[in-house]
Amino acid sequence: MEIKGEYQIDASREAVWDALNDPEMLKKCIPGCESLEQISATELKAKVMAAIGPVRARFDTRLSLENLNPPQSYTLVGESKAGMAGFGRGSAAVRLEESNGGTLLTYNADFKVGGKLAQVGSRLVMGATKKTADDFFGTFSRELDPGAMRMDIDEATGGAMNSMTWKAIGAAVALLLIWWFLLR
Amino acid sequence: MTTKVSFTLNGEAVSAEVDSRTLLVEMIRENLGKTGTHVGCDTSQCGACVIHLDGRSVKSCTMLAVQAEGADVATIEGVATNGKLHPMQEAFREHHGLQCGYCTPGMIMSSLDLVKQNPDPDEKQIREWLEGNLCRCTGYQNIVRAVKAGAQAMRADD
Amino acid sequence: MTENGIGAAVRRKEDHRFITGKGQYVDDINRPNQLYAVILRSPLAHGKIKSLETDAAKAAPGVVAVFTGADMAAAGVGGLPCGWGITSSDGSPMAEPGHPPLAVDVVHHVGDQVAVVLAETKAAARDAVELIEVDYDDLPAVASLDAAGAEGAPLVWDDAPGNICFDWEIGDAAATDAAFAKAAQVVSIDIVNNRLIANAMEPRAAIGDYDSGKDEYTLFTTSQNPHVIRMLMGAFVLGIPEHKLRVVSPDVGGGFGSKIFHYAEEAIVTWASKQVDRPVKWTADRSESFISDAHGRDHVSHAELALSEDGEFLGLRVDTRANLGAYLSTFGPAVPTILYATLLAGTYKTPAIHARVRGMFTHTVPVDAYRGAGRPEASYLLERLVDRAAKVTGIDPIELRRRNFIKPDEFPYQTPVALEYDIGDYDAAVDKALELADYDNFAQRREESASRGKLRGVGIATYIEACGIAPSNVAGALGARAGLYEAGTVRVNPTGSVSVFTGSHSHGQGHETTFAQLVTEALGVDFDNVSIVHGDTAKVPFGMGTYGSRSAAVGGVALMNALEKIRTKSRKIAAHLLEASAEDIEFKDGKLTVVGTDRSVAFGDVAMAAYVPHNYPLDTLEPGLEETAFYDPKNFTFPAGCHICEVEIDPDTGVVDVVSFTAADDFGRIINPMIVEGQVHGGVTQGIGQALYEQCVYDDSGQLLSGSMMDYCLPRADNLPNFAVTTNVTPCTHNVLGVKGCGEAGAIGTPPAVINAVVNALSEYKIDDMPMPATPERVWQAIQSATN
Repeated sequence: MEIKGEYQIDASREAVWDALNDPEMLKKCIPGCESLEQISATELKAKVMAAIGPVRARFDTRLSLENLNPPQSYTLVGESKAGMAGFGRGSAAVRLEESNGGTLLTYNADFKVGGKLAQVGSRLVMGATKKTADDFFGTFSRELDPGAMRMDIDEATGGAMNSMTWKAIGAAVALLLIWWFLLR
Repeated sequence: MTTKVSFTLNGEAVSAEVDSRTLLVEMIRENLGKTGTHVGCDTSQCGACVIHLDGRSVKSCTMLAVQAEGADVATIEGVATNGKLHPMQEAFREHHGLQCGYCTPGMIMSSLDLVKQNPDPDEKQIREWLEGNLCRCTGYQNIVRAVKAGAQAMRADD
Repeated sequence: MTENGIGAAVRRKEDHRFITGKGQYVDDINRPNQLYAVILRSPLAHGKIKSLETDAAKAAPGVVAVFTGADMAAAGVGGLPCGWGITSSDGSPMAEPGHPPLAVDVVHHVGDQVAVVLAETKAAARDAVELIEVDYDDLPAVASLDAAGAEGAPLVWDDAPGNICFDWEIGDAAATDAAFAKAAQVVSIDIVNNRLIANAMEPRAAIGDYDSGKDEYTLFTTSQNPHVIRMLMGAFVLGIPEHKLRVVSPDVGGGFGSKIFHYAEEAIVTWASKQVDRPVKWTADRSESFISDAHGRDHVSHAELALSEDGEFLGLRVDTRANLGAYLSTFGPAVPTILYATLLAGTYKTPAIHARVRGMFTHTVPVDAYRGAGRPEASYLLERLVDRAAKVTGIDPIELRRRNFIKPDEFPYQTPVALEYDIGDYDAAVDKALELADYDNFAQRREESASRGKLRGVGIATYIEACGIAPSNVAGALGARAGLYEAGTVRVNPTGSVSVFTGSHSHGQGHETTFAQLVTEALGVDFDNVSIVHGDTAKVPFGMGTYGSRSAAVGGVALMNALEKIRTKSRKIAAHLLEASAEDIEFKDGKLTVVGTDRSVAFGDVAMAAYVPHNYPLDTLEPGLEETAFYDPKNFTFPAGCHICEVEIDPDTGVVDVVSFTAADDFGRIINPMIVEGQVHGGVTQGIGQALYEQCVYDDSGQLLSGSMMDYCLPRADNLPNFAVTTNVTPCTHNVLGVKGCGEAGAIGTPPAVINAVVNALSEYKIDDMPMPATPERVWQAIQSATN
């Protein structure tokens, strides 16, 4: 599966980069994140409770960062496993650009899911992933700039998402999109 | 963590200590030994587990046992009374509305609720009502015929 | 006709328990002190197991044991055997990879068994499975026929280059080439027969129960053929001799082929039960069924038909690739060969036919027989091709078929693809179907639909199928590794009631009724005084089970033969009692009478005399009244028929609505018309399912995407019309009942009838093909491409 998207964040590129590099910040923003642990300078592991449609499980996630080019771009490569519930793996190229006095984050992810997640939840993965990204950025932007408020986020992200997203199953968390926000 | 769940099953008071995550259908089958209610899927699609809860048909795989606390639960085992088949059961037999029999309890329980709400359903209404009950054997035609005949017999009995 | 005898629409004996919730399916059975098994399955289509860590699971609350493939291998457990060997056209045997019940080192499809947890409760076992840590090396996978056949494709098995299991052929290639050389016209078609999942409503289940006191095993399993399971599992997998292994298949909630095969879970619970000396129960979740029950169909074919100027079929050339999945299921290789290509003559006199079939491995669930098994694939290919030929030649599709039918006076008819049809009347079936479908007035109905903005189409298909595979020696020469007879025992009890023990297995077919009708007919015993026992190797002497529409044609005939033995012995006993000669005794309506006199004894008195032999010819006749017959048919039976479908398509949405469906079938003599009609309804519905709704979808990496009833679309009550069903009888010539079999016909004739109707409805858009399933999206897209 391929997912592309972009978000306008009302903060400087350096501030966004730093925030994306702050484990505490990430832990706060990732829905369902139970623990986040740095293994090395470019590796990280996390436990995330996630539900996609009827599949609900704790995902053990391992990530590594490649092609680091601060504060402009990096690639996230990772894998998430949840036993019987299945797995996801893939990579995402993330870019940060200065734009309209803030930062435009674009991502281009290629990933696949397997096991029960594919079997029962594959229809829902796309929608759930977009929803997760939105939830993440909602929290992320508020944390970065309390004055920004939801409206900006909705406005900024609304265009990047189709209406399906809004209909997608609520409160779901997609493991893979989480990765590209999981900087050390 | 276990919880004691009590309700009325086919007119009798029953209770069991169950894990709080136990589904109602699991409690009925495993703890209470009423195996007429079947499990055909794990996504609430097939309707093999339909029972009556406080007089309405529900898929018993879709709710937890604890949610039935204090309720009036009826299963296929309670449909015939004093050894006499219910007209709907008779109709399924008379019209060959079953083959392997696995979906049958759910079909009958579902149909009984339909007739309760609509004593004289036409074919289209029956087909739409039974949309949530899968049968892989009959092609539904004889089930629909049976439900129509069962409804008619129930009206005659009233 | 005897009341409740052959031909009567007797209501079913078995129904009472099912409508009162008293059926006993495997999951309804609980053994004292039983454990629950939950199986860890591979989430990968292809992977190497680097490490498998079970300690945490073993230590979890309620867990009694955890076993892996290494444990079973160390104990000397064998692999699941394949019951049919196919020889490639170059003379080499098919590739036959091992199939351990629990994977060793490498997993080959999503759902492959990796480990089993035994615990005090199912919940505890489920929780513990989550604690097993498996580290896999993800290996490249092939999920489709195209991917498996691509240059440099990853191999499922190293010893099967090109992922080819066998490259088999049938028919005369040279004669077929010659036919094409002289053809006036050649019509070709590319056909995909979509992969399906049987989805019997009852998920599979198995209970292994080892008795250490007696060193005996009992397996309760959801099987269509318990004796076959005993033979395969006992002899090949676990090394348990028959007298130590009892297999019971009680009420089984539908099979449709998917419960023929010997599955890993049966061996796992039986073996594990001995390891822990406690009963072990496993029941599949539906999600598990999707990734562990054998799938069906999945062919890709190219076919060409050579025709003369006036539409005579001269030759047929077929090239088929069949997906076998990752392992060979019990009858997997037989389905796309012996059960498919031998039927490519259809109902037609095509003189030269050649078919090549390549069975291919992919990293998917094994593929095996599903209702029709090979015959639906043959009929779909042929009837789509014939419809296209009608379009190309401009000959009416019905006329084209009639011109090429084998005529009633041409039987027995030897086809160019091995089979010899004994009898049939294909025109008569077409006539009946056309009349019942009110075909002549279709144009008016089409106009009426058009007035509502709907596109109406009509499609016709004829079919022939071969049921009751036989005789055993011929099947053996074709690769069968088992016999294909059936056994039946009739036990007349001392007071005249009758217990029948049949090797056929009923999982919805109603044998307890139809077989009792046979007894009533033959012995005049009251219908209520007959009981049919099946599904237990400890009770039934032997049996090959129920599949391929064989129960009446093979099991029923075995029973008739046993009944004939009872009649013969009864006559001898009656002759003694009446002081007459056995030749002078007439056995009719439950009475044995000296011909031409009023001296008679009731059958019940004969039975009593047999068991209380005070006045009995003990010097020439054994006491008792019980007979067994094994029956091995001389030939297949050949049910055939004509199906007509009318559809209405909404061009704005692409939704296809089946508005009428007519089936005129020749099943030979009919024992119970009510049951036969029910079988047709069910078969037609599964055929409509294949044509319009059902599709098993794998992604490129071998992940099953249609793995639940939310994603795999089964026909529901509101998708279907009422079917118009009739029969045309030409009795089978080589069995005493004259029966042919009716269980699969619906699934065989229906898909081409539906798709022909869809294509017909779309003819104004010049659309001449529509893949199955004809989903709204596909139909809508086709209309869009045609109009833009």
